[in-house]
Amino acid sequence: MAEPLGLRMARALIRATAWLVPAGRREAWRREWEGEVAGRWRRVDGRNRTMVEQLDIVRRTAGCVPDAIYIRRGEGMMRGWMDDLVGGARSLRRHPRYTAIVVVTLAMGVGLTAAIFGTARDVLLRPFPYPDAEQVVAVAGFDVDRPGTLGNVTYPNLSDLSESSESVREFALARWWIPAHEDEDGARVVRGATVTANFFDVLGVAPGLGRFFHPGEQGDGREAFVVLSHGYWQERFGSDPGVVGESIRLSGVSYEVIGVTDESFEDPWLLGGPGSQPQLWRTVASPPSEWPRSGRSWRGIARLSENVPLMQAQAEVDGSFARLVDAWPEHNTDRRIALVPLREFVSGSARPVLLLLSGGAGLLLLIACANLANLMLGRAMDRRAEVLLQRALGADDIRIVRTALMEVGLLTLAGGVAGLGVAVLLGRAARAAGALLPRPVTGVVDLNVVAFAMLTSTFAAILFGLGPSLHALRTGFSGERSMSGRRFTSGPARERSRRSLVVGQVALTAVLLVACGLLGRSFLALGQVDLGLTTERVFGVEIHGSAWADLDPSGSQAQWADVLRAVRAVPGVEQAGAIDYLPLGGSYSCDGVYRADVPAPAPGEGRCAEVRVVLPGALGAMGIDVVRGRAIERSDDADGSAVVVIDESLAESLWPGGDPIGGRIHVHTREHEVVGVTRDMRHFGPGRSGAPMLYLPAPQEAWNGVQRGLALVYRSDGTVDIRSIQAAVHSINPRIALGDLVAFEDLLRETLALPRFRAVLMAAFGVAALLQALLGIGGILAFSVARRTREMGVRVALGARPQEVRHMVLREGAMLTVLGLSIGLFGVALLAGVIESMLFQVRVWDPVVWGGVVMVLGGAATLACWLPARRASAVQPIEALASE
Amino acid sequence: MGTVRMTQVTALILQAIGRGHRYGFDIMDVTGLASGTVYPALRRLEANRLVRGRWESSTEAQRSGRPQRRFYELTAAGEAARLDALDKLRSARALLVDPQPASEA
Repeated sequence: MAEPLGLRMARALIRATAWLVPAGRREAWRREWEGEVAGRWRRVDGRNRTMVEQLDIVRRTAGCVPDAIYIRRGEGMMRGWMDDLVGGARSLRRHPRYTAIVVVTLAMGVGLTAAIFGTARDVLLRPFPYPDAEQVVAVAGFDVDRPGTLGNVTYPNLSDLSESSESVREFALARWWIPAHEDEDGARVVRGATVTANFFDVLGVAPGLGRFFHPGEQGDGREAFVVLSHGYWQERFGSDPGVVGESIRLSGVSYEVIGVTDESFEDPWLLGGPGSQPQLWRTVASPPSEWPRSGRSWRGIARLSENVPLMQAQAEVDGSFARLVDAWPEHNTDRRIALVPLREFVSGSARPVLLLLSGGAGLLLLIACANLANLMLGRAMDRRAEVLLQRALGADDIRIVRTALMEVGLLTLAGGVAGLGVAVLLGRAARAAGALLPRPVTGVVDLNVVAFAMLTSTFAAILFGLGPSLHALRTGFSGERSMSGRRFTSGPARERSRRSLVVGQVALTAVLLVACGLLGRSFLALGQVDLGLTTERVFGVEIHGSAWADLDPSGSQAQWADVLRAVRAVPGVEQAGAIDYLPLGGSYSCDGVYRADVPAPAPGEGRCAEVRVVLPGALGAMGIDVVRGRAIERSDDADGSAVVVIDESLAESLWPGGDPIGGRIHVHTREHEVVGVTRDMRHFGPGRSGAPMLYLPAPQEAWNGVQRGLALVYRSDGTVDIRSIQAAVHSINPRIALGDLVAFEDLLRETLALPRFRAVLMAAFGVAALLQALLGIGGILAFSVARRTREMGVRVALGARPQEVRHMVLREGAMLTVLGLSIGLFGVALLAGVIESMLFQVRVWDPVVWGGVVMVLGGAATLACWLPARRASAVQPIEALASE
Repeated sequence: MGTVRMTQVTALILQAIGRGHRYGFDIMDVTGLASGTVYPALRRLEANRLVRGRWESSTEAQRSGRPQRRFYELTAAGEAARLDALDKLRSARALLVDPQPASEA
């Protein structure tokens, strides 16, 4: 039987305390306490071992701490040390406000820094768990005029590259594959990836169960093997090891499960981030030659040969790719292939945010250090009376210094522990928000960072605060006038440095607040963008499966027509249609398009557009308004003439100022007549305008396979249950597999998640910094007032009115604030470039934000000045004299 | 050997031990004092030879299936100090509250 918690706690407490007891007595001491605990436990044996009894024992055992301390002090060995510790603790208890402020300051600095650096480390720095992970790189294609936008590659290009490459050991490829997993419980859509057989070899990882693909298992028409992710294996197969070797049906095809990834396997996140990584993998069925050189639908990854640096490999790839440009200029002109360190590639969009946050955390730690220094200095002022008393009682200077050091030590310890708590809490929050980041966050607190932050702040505290007071101790107490403390701190140089600390704080706070305001406004602006489509009450359901596999094109078309008719008949459904990719996220294709009545453009010169394949009703259901001509209609079937609906920006770029209706454009392999123009739609969410769009009728696009890859979209009155949609679809064919219901409003929310995360984090930072700055300003003014009590008393005695004294203090605060604010705003100007890249429809010079920051910071600073100012105006001449 | 100032705490603890409550936790029970008070006081009394701490016999502990406990007993000086304290308490009580001498229960 396991020991009860209370007993274990009591034992642990005794053992932890035992080190305080001098070694010679330690063993006996421990035995005595443990004997007592065990004896008491025996006594309540059987009858009464409730929680109350356990707590009682723990409470009694707590007495071992004073006991141990008593013995230690009695022993005399470390007597002085213990006394200092006790003295330090007592003195802190006498100044609870000071203690609380220091601990909170430290906790904020240490906690935030540790949490932010921990998150940045997880996402930006943590190596991938692959052998020689530095040699694994992402392979991305890009346009020479947009080198920052890394995108997909084509299978044939990569295949050619791999044949001619020596510095790259192997290239592997992956692309999405969304099949329906069918079993006795029905069909369910899963996230899969089609990969080249060497995918796992390039990563260099071992399977958790079974095996990965052998080199030959691709490209010969077989796609018979599948590897499961550890998560999917747990979720769908209940962690049954017997699944290896069994067959499962995916979209009507039977696959043999050959392996399961290890629990520790981390996907290279080429396709999706945490929360949307592949659940299973199969190998590509057809050889590279059967894949179009124009279709850039693959993500590449490669392992460099041993000891080959990235630069060398990149140079070789550039050389090889130049030959591919010569061989296929129509596809490869103005394209390049980049080898990108995997960490850099994956952290992509999150990198500037995390770097900004890390910078913010560093600044905040700096501010906290400055405040600590000020607090320490203030405390040193307070201490002078105590110190004089102690000296009068015969304490030597070493003792006084030791007590002061002990006080700082205790504060640092308490602040550090509280900071650790803050870091743990924030780490948990970061892990919860991890789906917004491109790699999972462990939430593990980095003790190195905690230690570093604690050391830095302690060092700052001692250097700026304790140091001067110790110096004063040595030199300043020789004269009797030292009670006034003036000789303590009033050296003009020291005064200036304290003031510049506060000015610096205000400046840093201004930077953080402006950044926070700008990001907040960007976020609001994102929410108000006209998307060109409706999200309210619009839903999408991915529809997949084998239900179309054995139908010919006209059968497919008929089945889709039946499905849509059935869905439209569901009570509450207002409009319904189908489209190949749901908007607000998803993939980026960029297919070449040009007017049929002009010569075909040179390779790489043509425009490109996002092609969407739709069934009638889709545009209406999604609220994409047709502004001229008509939408795709039922008559646009395989027998009708090829038509296309384009959006306004494509119309404007192909027929500037003209009428596109009736015009003809070339898309994919043939000509289409433009029958309608829609409003522009922000396919990639409010933050990106994206390429122009065009819509083709699905029945005329046999190549795309009407039988697969379409999503049902419908607009409802809000009362429709997914089960009635499901029932309607299954009334046509029970084998049709439906994916998860997706509300367009959720899609929109997801596209806004990262900006929201950014804005919220910056706001948290801004508030923390503001608090620290107020503490700083208030602290220095209070200090200044205390120091100048005599001066003020004299002023009052000479007839100054209280308001005048108050204004004097306020003026001092205002000067510091204005100076800090100006420097801060100047700093923002220097950082404009970094900040600009994260903004949306808001300029760095946004007057609302700048005005707001000036008002908030100014107002708050005035408040912080108010208390010391009031105190100053209440100074009586008598008090001033008494302070001497 | 120094002298122990007779406080309420030391007096209470001496009384408790004198009445046969010999273990630390038992002394807490009868005196109502916290363990953080009882133990340092016991150390002080022991250092001044008013009480003596001893380990119970190992056979006794083994029979009950638990580790040995340490118990405290009064030395001669301790017994004298206890009686002295009791006397003082009685006279104080007589003076303050009760005209009759209090009897021990």
